[in-house]
Amino acid sequence: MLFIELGSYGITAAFVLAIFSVIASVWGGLSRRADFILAGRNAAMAVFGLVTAASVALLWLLLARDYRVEYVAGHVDNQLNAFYRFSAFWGGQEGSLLLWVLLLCIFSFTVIVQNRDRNQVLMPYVTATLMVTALFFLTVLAFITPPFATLPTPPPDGKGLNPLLQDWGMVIHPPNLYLGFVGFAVPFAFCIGALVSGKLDTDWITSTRRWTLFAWFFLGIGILLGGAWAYKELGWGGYWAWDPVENASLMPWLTGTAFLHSVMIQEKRGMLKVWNVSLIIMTYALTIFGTFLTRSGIISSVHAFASSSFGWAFLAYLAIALAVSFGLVIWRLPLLRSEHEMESFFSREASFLLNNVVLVGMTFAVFWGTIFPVVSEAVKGIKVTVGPPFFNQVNVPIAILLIFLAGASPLLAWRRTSGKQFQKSFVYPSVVAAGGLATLLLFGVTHVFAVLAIALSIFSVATIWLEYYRGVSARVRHQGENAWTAFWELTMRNKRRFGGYIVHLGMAILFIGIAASSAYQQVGEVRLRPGESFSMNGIRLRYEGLRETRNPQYTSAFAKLAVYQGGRRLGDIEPEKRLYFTPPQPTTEAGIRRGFASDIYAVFAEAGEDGATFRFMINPLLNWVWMGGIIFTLGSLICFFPERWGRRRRALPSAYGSEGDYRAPDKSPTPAAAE
Amino acid sequence: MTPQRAKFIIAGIVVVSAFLYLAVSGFRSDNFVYFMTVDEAATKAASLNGQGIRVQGKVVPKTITRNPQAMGLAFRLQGEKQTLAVSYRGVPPDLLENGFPVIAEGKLDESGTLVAKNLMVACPSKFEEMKAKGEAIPQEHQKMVERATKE
Repeated sequence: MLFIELGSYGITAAFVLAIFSVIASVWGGLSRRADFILAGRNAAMAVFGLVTAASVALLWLLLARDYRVEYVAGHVDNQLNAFYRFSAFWGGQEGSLLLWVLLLCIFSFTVIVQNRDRNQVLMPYVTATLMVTALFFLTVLAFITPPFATLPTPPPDGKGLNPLLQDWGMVIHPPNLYLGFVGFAVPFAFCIGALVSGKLDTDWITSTRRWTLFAWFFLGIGILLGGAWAYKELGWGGYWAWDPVENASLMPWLTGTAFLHSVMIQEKRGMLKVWNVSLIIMTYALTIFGTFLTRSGIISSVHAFASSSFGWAFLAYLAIALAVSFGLVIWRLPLLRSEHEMESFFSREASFLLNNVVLVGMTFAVFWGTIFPVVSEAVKGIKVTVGPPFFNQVNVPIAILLIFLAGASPLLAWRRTSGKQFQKSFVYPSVVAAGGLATLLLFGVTHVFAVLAIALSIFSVATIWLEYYRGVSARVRHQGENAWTAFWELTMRNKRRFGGYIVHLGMAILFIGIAASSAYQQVGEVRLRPGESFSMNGIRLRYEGLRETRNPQYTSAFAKLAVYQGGRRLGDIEPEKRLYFTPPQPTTEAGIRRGFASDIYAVFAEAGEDGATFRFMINPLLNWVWMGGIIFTLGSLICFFPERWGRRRRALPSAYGSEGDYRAPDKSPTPAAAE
Repeated sequence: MTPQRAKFIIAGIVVVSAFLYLAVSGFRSDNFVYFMTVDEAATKAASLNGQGIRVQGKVVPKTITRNPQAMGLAFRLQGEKQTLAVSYRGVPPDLLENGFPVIAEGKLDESGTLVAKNLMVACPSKFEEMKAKGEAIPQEHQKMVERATKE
């Protein structure tokens, strides 16, 4: 009917117009022809319109259960409710790629509108880069995996949505991650624009600061939510397995974190320019690679969808994109020279440089471990995987160093920290951390990495406390505010800086949660008859019986367990086993009693008249991971809001000025600027 | 190059070396898990020395023995020419039935049995693929479908 044509012709037309947009924008930019640039811009807006129309068409077809379309028949059935028919849009290959390009087009449109009077030198190339990215996905959608392919005879009922995806967490997971992946295309496009045009001042960075933050935030949240979902749904009591697709989302986040921080050094001191362009190029490449890894099934993983034939297309695009991008960097190296020299190891700049090196190193390790099976098979003919032991062994020490850096860096001065400054700033947090360390050891916590991780996280938290203490007391003294008002004003007037501190606080808490729950998790597996109990670490779980229910989608069995501690009944947990009808598949839902100090976690396998087989886990401080995530969210939101939002600026000077130290770039000559 | 520059480059080399050391030491062969076919695992037991391996095969019909009391499970995996005994202690995965494709990960013991730490069963969407290609789906899966969709 109408919508099938709208969809498939829409994609084809978008494909054509994207090509036109790229050519017109680049030609216009190079020859400085405003009419060409305008044509390219308008074509990009038209691409947005067409892709949106195609997306609406697919949505309509899914909601209407139009089984003439193969994609609809493959992911929807007669029982599926409207919410899941909506989310079936991204439940499979074709729809997922369409979602990617839809988001890209929405962002492209927004960027074009935002910059209609700004960045005139960069914008033609920004448009072109965004459209080249869109073009890649549109090529795959138009020629390799068309979403609107039809079936010769429409079946009476569809295959339905994978039960694992019939869960609100899995519904928002792909859009969430894609907001992150696709978001990084914007700073990348501006970077390419800066390289091509030669306009390598900080405009390309400052114009995209919020885009970078936006993408980084959503990618981070996507990773955390993925972990939270896995914890509840997969039943093994963990939230991260170093699975290839988990790694695929982590890698761009790591380089994105490095980029987010490193650009501050360029803004303030005109240094690390080559790092910054390289980091965003790597991040973009990793988002494409991540999409490729997740979709192609080239590396077997719990997430592997049906293996597809278009993996080669991704690799080809990736190779070209990297070659062109780094080619541009090499060409523009003379313009990317640092404006200052690095003077001391104990400086803010040096700590950020170390941050870059460490994060890239971690990315490299994760990358290597992830693709190793493919490489070993190509080289030695035998497929070898390296599992969590490798990743943990390499990444845990690095992560510990990172959380220490997060705390130490704000205490370091620009250019050089004097011995006196060092003393003044480092003593208090170090003492607190040492105290924390001693307390842990006293309480019998001796796992080396857990102790180090927690002690250094405490160090970071202590430095944040110190920064707030200094700022708040200065305001109380000079502005006469009370402590709470001072706290609020300090944060709101220095959103970037103090928002950042709150994000670090969230990361420290998250890190403590990871350390405790990994090092001190306890597992017990037992078969219980109704009425029998199992005890572990002071917690007693009593199996009370099985109860069964049924709904149009599945039958379900709940095993009721009463939780006791020290003789007192704390509550109940009910792990569940479901058997879905279409497609026929059993799933496990864990029963979890969440607490501040620990989680009590239960799943059961089979259950019959003579009892049920259970797996119990006690995960200490596990909720600190999610709590850290919430604080991380809060901090990111603070960073995101404009400095002047809703505030009258007071004329009085305050201890931290009006925008922290990130306002005026430091153009003073360094003593040793001999070269 | 100024002494300043040299200082930072040396520091950089130190940091990168420390990192490489960490990465390479993590790449020990006892962290490796080799993918093997059933036949290779059945014949190479001696030379493997407790190496972690992953084997993929189909469950041989009528070889599944479950011991719910001891939470044990044993079955045989079908390869090209040979079969491999697999044992597993713990909560068995959903969907482990006769003829199903399974990936077992663990170590071979002296008797040539794979003591599995991890069992992964193929996702049902794979069965749809198999049906589309005209392959026979395991009978148990069909029965489960019938049980589930009955009434």
